[in-house]
Amino acid sequence: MASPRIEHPPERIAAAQRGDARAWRAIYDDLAPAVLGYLRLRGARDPEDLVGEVFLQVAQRIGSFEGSGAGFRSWVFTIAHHRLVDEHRVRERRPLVLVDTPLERPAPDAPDDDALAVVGTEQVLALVAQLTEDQRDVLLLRLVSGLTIEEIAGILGRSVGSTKQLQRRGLNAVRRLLESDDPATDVPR
Amino acid sequence: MSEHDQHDEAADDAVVDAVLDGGVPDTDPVWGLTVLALGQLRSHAAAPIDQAAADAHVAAAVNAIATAEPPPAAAAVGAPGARRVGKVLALGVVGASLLGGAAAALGGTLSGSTEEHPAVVAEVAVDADAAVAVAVVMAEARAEGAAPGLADGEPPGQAVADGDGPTTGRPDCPDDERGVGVGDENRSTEMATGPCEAPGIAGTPGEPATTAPTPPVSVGPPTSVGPPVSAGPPVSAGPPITVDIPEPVGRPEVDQDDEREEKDKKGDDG
Repeated sequence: MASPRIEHPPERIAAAQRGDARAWRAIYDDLAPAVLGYLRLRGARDPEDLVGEVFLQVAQRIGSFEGSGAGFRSWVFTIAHHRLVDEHRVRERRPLVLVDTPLERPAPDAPDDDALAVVGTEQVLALVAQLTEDQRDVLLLRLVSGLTIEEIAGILGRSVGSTKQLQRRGLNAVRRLLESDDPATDVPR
Repeated sequence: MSEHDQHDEAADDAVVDAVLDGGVPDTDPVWGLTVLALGQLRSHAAAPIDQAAADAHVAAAVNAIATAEPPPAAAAVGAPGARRVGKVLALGVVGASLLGGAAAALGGTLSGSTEEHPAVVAEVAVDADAAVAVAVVMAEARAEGAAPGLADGEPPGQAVADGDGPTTGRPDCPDDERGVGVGDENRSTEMATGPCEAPGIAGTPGEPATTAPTPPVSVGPPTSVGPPVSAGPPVSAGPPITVDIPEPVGRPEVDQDDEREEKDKKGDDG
């Protein structure tokens, strides 16, 4: 399971702004995997390379950052999201790989651990690939990056209400896909 | 917000919290399966950066430099993942001053303030992609003693003045003793001198770069590493593009003046 969300103390951010290597290392170690996961699941062509680009930009702009530790995390993901948008603009977007395999479902009385075992990662990716881009953005930023609805709304330039609606539709879409026989089936959105 | 909406929101929060906490909500089985599936997605996404693969890239690049015919810079650039690894290591591992000195000795452009080490590294990585890869490899090789001819050689003894900030001082001094000289308004690459404990001597104004002591690596001309890599398009928050506006179909546009003239002409004829 992903590591719990870490709020970087203001002193660490200030140290990073002064170029302190240890502060940078702590920030990078905490945020890089989450940024990588978000970029990877959002279909970045070379997610590792994009992580490098994101942190280059973080390094270049950290001097202008003002705010809390929570705000810093959100700020980094804002940069990551914008870099992703830019990448999509200049490259033909590569969609998530759809797996043309019917979803294996547990027997009705199977325990939950068994259910986990039969929903493979590729099948989960196929489920997420069926969501709209907006729904996918919200769910991944919420579940993978651990951001709040308010932070996500800020990153995506949406209202909080609209972001909540996207989260609800996304969750419901995943649920409907799991109920259906085929994960590739179109879902009402 | 209606009572129904509040209920829905609470249900959404329960599902999300269950995914984030790694638990299973006490709801119907399909929601339970949904939580498990999304939890698996979260675990998959949180896979750490593959440090072993990064190390392998560095080793390959080191090997390429150690064994290739000149120009070694080009060989390093061609190594798989050299650019990516260069950036990652530059941000997290490699000492910026050593990197800066090495990059400058290899003909890379070094802009930005050396006062803020990460910013320097960032600029090097963006402006002189090839140089940063080589510089990182050199730093790694020096630290690990991994590459013959690189590990034990004298590191590039070139101070780097970026125009308005301190120089990197003597790169052959230990990190905590390396002098820091003050650059002037113009670019200077004069050799930093002085004992390790003392600040380096300021660079002199605006003359062309002086020759540094020969680094142990033979370096090809900067042109051999290809064009500088730009930072890419600026970040913006606008909506994705790829909007193809189709050509309008139907009656072609007719210049009204021409049409009117045509009618007038017909009228005259008639």
